[in-house]
Amino acid sequence: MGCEPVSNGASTQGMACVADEPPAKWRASFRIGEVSLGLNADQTFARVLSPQIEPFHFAAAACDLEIDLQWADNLRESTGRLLFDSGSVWKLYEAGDGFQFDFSSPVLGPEPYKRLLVDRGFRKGRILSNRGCFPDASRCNPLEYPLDELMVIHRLGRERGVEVHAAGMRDAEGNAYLFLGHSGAGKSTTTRLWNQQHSMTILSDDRIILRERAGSGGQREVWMYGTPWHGEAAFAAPEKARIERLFILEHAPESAPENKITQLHGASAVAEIMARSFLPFYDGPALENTMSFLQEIVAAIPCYRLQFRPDGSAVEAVRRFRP
Amino acid sequence: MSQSHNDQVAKKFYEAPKIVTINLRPEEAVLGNCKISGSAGPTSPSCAIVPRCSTVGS
Repeated sequence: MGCEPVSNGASTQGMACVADEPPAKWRASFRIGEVSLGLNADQTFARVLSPQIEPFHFAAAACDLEIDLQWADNLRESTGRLLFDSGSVWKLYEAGDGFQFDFSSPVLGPEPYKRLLVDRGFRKGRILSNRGCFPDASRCNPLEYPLDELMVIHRLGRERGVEVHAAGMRDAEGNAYLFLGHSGAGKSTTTRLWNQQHSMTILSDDRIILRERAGSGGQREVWMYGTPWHGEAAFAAPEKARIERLFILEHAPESAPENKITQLHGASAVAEIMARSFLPFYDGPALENTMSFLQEIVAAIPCYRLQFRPDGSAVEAVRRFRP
Repeated sequence: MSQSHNDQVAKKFYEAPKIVTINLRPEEAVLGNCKISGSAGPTSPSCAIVPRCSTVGS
């Protein structure tokens, strides 16, 4: 008979122990763009996930990526080989046969406030939250952005899928519209315009996942999926839709009298999509896989540049557009 | 090989290689931007983390 600490990974000194009964376990699972995430922890992590991810709940006993959430008392700066520095809160290191993502902030000092240890296939991992950075443990969200999104885009790099910077929506007749754009390109504006003029299901105004699916006749189809990571217009829904074309979104010059749609071909189309994709640039095999997927998208559906005016005319220009 | 076929080959359109600039946004591509307030992000007051980001992107 043992005496288990109440909190996973904490020192037992001075802590209450629960004899005979192990700590209550907690599990949650989600599915985003056909990637399933399973989280396993004790109850201290049970109420801290962001509300944006709640609609993506998906009951599953085993997921594509299984993650254990744990506390750590001594997270030190990594001495492993640095593979990538994002220039913001996260860095990637080599860690044995796997990867180590460290998250740090100058406000909290050089030690990571959070660490993800994961195998190279992105099938199993652990998130360690630095206890010293979270005095109120019940309010720490271990999946907080950008970690949740990083896990999904890395997993996609091992499948036939990619996350793009885009707004996606579907009308009542099932027609799907996808607009890729950098920050400031007009994704949220476009989403609002469409939503004002028509009854639309908005998958996201900022992040869309593209996947390949086989059609009923075996033909290759491209589908888009909503994600929890919304933009200014705050649209995020666990919906999907088949797309038959995509648009690269840009503001029209002020002098332009009207909206303009021009087709992009081959390498130009691939490059424009790539520039608006979230890719594991430091992971050769995943990058190669994703680039071939982008080529397949361009081969399967036409790609257009849309220079739009920020009013209702842009909506009608796209709806009336026939190649 | 017929004369007409030779003419077709001779007149095949040639397009010179050209360099096209594609605008990349590295800080966005690596999830280096803060997400806008109201969405999940390291700016969330729940964890009291102030990230080292200077640009807010969505």
